[in-house]
Amino acid sequence: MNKYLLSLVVLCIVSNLRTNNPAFSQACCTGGAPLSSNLGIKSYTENALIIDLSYDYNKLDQLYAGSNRLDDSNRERITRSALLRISYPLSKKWTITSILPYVWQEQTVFSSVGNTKQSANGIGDIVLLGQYTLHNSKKHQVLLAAGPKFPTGTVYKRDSEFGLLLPPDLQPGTGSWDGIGALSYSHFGLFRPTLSLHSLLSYRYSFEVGRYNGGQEYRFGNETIVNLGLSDSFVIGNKILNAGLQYKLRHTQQDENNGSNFPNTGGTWMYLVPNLDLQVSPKVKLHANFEMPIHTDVTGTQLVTSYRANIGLNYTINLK
Amino acid sequence: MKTIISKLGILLVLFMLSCSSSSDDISDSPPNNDTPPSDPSSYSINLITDSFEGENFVVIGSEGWNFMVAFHSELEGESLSFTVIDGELPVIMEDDMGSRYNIFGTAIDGINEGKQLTPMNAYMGYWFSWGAFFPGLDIFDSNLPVQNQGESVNGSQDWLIPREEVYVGALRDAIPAIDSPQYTNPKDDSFINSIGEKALVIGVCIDNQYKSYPHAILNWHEIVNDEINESYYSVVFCPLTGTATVWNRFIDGEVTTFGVSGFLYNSNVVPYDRKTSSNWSQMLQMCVQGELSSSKTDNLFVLETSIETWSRISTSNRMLSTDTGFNRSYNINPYGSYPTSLTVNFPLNFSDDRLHPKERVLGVIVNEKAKAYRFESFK
Repeated sequence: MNKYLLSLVVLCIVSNLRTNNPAFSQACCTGGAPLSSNLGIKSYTENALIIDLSYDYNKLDQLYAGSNRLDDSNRERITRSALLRISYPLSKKWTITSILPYVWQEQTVFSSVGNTKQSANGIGDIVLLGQYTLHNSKKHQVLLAAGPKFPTGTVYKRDSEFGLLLPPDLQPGTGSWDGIGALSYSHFGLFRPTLSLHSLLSYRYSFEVGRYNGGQEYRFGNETIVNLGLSDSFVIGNKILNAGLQYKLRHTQQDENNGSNFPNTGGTWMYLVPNLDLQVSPKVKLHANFEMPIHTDVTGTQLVTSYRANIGLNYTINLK
Repeated sequence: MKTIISKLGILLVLFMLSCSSSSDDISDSPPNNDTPPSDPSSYSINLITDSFEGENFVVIGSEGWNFMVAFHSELEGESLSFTVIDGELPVIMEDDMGSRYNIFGTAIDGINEGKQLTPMNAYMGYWFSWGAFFPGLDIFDSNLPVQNQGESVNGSQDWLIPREEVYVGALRDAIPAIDSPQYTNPKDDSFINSIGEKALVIGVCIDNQYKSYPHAILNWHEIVNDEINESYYSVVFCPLTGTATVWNRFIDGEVTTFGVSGFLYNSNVVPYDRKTSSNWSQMLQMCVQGELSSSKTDNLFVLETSIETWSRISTSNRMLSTDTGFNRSYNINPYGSYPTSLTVNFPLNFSDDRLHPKERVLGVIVNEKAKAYRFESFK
């Protein structure tokens, strides 16, 4: 079983890397909320409505050329997102999930002749996912999810000084329709009853979007994310604490502009992600994670994440 | 369970293969972008005598030597005829009074020795940008039907250009101008050697002092604020339109510097002056927004050519060094294959497809109209 899954994951990664343009791939400096990292593919019991509210903070202030960090502190970009995720299990097998983001974008350029700051905020792109439980047993769980990302976030925010349209990476939305697919596998009771292995493979395909009144046809690079991690549960007082550590691999293809590859987009990032869940009560769970980059290899020169943090509250409403 | 996962795996792999599209690489290359032909015949220098909008002038160029320059045909009120001098760079022509002239238009001997021809308002740039800024412009010796003739645009909302056509490519100073340029001897510089003798530089000569600025460095900075003998100037280079201009930065009785606003108009850089924060259009050569709105730039002569050619012209060894105060990968073009691709990154007011969009042409501007000259006219 494990051998099978490992082969599957490797095959998918290899197949994706093989079809990339060998020269470039895509950046994380695109507008919008970090939806692909917050899909929340999980199994839920029937007759419940699960509401999850989380806050995501992503700080980008390290300039990389390929895999080399440049000694430069000229720019800083901060993306903050509030994500409301609502899941409703339709049956034992089927769950529907929607993710509604609100995004704050902020960019600062530090210069000896004065700093420049631009910011924008608004509702981001909404994701709707249909989730199917392929297999669920005491030891194994396999979930499959797929759905669209709608271009609900605005891409028309303007700067306050000149009234000019802000660049795409400062807009709350991307303007593009995306298709998202994800496959999750969990192995429970690994070596000991409370130790679990979790893996998630997700893929985002972006469609072309017309910008500047059709003067520019832009397509964000497709994105593949692989998460692989272990978690264990502990009882502290009368609360259950779940602690885990994940390895995250993110790969994006290069963006395309008017049919040609767009420079300084795309790349491969690896992170270590420690995470904690605290079951406060049967209905309430607090969760937090922290992303630390361990390897960066970007196409051209790009501003990359120095750290990212996410905290949230998960509330289950019993509908019986 | 195994069967399900097996089928699922195959489906997922097929899905990812089908979805992972990538655009075909553009394989065409316009002539003369960083890699001019190297066959000996292309190194001939030729001269065109022409007139445009009532102005008489000569254009001298060579594809192999990778330069085109233009000068008024009059010297101190007297109309002159010129013949080309080939094979004696930096000397390029001789007038009908027997004086020879160097590539900067200075008479180096004869009756006119020491006198200076007036350069035409002219600079190099990608064809698409000339078509966008000067709709319906002529191309020398071309029979192709003119496009967008009679078209024009109007300014809006305190801008002398349509504000809605001004795009934010980056935040102000995100592309940092170089304010304290350092220089290197190109012969001893490993970086200059690595980019090769065909790489383009922007050459400036003031009071017989020479400085040059490689495109490879300016791709990352776009502006250098510099001076020679208290002549204060800014070298402005736009990697998206391939245009280089040199402006006097002594404005309204005060020395200022220029920075990169991050705005783009017709894909062309919009510098801002740091004295008033007014925004200027490089290709229109004027202030288009702010306190200095409608002020014209004071343009200095600029020679864009290869390091190979510049090394034959310049008697000094002052080439801009990578010691810019910023840590960048100068050996990489941040715009990738853009200089040779068909793609233009930002919308244009007018598209003119008579030539490859990235063909480098010399635009000569008279009375706010332009005429384009191609390297192939000098073969």
